[in-house]
Amino acid sequence: MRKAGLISAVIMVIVFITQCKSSVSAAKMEEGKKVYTTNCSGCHMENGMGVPRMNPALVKSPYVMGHPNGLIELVLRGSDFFGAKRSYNNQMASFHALTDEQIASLLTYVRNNYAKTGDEISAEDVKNIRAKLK
Amino acid sequence: MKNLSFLLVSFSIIFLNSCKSKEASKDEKEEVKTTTAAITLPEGFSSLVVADSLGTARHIVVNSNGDIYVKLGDQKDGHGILRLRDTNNDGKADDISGFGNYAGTGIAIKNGYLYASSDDNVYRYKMDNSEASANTEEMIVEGLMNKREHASKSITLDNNGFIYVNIGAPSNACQEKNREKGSPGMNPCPILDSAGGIWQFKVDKAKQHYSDGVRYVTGIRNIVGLDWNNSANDLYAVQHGRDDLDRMYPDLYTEDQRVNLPGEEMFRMKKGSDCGWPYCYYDPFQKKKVQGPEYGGDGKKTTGCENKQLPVYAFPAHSAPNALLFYTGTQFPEKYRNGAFIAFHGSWNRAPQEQQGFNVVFLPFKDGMPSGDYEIFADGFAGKTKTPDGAEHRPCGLAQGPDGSLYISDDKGGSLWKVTYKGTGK
Repeated sequence: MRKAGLISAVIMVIVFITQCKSSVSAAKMEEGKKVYTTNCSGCHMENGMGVPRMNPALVKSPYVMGHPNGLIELVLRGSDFFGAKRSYNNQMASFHALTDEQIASLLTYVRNNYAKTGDEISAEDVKNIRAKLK
Repeated sequence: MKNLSFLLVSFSIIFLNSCKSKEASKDEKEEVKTTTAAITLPEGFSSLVVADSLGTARHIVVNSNGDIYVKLGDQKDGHGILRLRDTNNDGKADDISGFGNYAGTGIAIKNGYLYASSDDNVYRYKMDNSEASANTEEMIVEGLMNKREHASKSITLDNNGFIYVNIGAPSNACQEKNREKGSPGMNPCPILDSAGGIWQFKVDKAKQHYSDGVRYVTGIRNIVGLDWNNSANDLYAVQHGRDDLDRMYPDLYTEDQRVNLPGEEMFRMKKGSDCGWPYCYYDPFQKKKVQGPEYGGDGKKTTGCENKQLPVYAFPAHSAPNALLFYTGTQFPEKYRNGAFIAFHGSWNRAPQEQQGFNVVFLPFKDGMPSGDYEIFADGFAGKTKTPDGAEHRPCGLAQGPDGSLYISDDKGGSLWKVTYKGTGK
């Protein structure tokens, strides 16, 4: 009986730890939050819900939840990324002036805070996309 | 052993809770109720919900027979204009019909015609037997700038056969690259040739283009609320001021300064007025126009701003004044006559600080100028969460009924309120 209780408790811990994706670096999340607060929260809001019609929500956004390369490109190019398909009123600036490290931290934070993707984006990922856009 | 199990279960609960709390922001939206909120009003006033499922109800106008016309920001069932009628005199709309297959913001009635705008064009309809006749639709202005940002076209009419159309600038401060940190402001700003101002057109000429109109006012970033004041015989408008001072120039501005700058300016406009955008903005604390940082300003310099038109009043920054109405009825007490009601859609560029607006204010007037400070007239639209996303309702349009009642529209929850005065004061 005791053994069964212990096993089930261990399983529960493993399940919850996995769900929380605690493998993402806390320092990176913290740095990403700083970059987000300075550069993004003014339009997308602290809770990531955006402004109806004007600035899109990040929560449940297919671009936030999708492949990280698309999201990196979006941040580097701004709303030019969408071309004529832009569906919100306000233009988003290009954030190419941020460093590869800053964008990596930012998007790690955005993906884990608003979409719980559980992955980390590296500065190398950003560097590669930046090189392709040149 | 037992203790270890207990410990592990406790950890499990902690982990579960920490996962849950991260998802709180995600669930907020689903908790928002769609029932129409009770709005708060000064003593003696009461409100009635005329309708509550209109969609994106932008500007409104009331005909002399009491019919209400609502311009929709998004079409509903293929219609961009709704006609609301109360056939049993209980104050609620029970006969709603639609026409006009375009979304937009502006709507007005003058001399037997209903006028309405899309984000590109202005149309008019003949009022036959006190009803706008859909099959008389005539395009009077076409091909106005529409690049999505600040694209809504608000309209008002004077008494000399002219209609005034706001053409908002598709930009924050006319930078080479819009809203990009470090991108310089363009001087001269090329946007001002075809936007960033209010254009005057004839009411009765079909298919007018820019070349048929007059740029009546320039140097405006964006206006949604405007009204012709018949007692002063002038155009008045309230501007949506610029955003992002501290994000663009963190060395020059603090977060507090960005939150509180610039004031949302109300202008009394004359033909040829230059209100200063994008080169200058209004600082309500220094009470002057200062040079924008994109043009070399440092928050204090006034270079190039000396002759720009000053506002007659400034409201809290970023509050988004979406409607202006000069009250000419006699139902409300004396102090309201010829004064201005302003509907504030509510701010977003004040984040992370508390947002402003989401209310209707009253500004007293005497001889065409503000004669005191504004007071909040109608409030409680947002409900529990005063943010653009979380708000249940966002005031967007104002109109005066033939009996002097005030109507307020909401483009978030789709509600429409009628406000009447039943008090004893006059």
